[in-house]
Amino acid sequence: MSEKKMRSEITGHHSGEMSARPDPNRIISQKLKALYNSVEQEGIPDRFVSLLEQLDDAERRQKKAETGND
Amino acid sequence: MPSGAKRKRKPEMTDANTAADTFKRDLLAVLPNLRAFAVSLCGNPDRADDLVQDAILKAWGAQANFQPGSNIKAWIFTILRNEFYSQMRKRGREVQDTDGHFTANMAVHPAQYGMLDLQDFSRALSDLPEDQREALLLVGAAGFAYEEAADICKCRVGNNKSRVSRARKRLQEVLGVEGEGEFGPDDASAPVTLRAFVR
Repeated sequence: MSEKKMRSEITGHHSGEMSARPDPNRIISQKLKALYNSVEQEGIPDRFVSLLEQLDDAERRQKKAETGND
Repeated sequence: MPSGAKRKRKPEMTDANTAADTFKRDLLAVLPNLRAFAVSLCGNPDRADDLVQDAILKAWGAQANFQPGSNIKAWIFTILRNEFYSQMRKRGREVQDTDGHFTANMAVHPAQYGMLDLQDFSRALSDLPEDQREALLLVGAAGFAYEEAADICKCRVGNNKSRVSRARKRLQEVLGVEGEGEFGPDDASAPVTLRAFVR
């Protein structure tokens, strides 16, 4: 497939009658992204947010202890 | 991303605090993408979240090695990917679990896309060899350039490109989308048709 055709498939600008048929690569790409996005859109589970908070807190406390208490 | 983001800084905050803050914020920003990669890579949401947690812990511990301003996304993806393979080596080949944990989980997250169709797709994805799957995910979904993906996978760019194209070709074969337009031009009819081709 020519690059021009590929681009037209991606952008959805169809220039010829041939493009009425979906491009197999495009179908695969769309499904892959749909699957990936469905997980991505779940956002960040709470366990990771609190994990990072804990790591951060621990580090701050440690630094404070090292620099002495004033 | 808004420039000049309004972030209140307490005056007593040191530079080290600021750097750690930025690190944490950047890490959080990339987590949804990283997690999607982990889930798609290992095909099991629970194991994927454990993998993400391990990667966070490793990244946090290795914070000093990270060059501020360099690509934190590529860095953490590399960490997770290495962790995936080292766990796989430890557990042996049984790590790859393609029997439906992912698809079962998918079923309770109905999206506008036909979920049955995506289940078939995720099954086909899980059946790909790991090297092809990771290459396809990094380039086709996670948003990396071929060069970056090659760095993450520690392989040559040409290798990476051929893995991606083999993965695409294989998925087309398995899902029956390589043929001469067995289904119509609209994507809406594709899920129904695809079902007929898988099993």
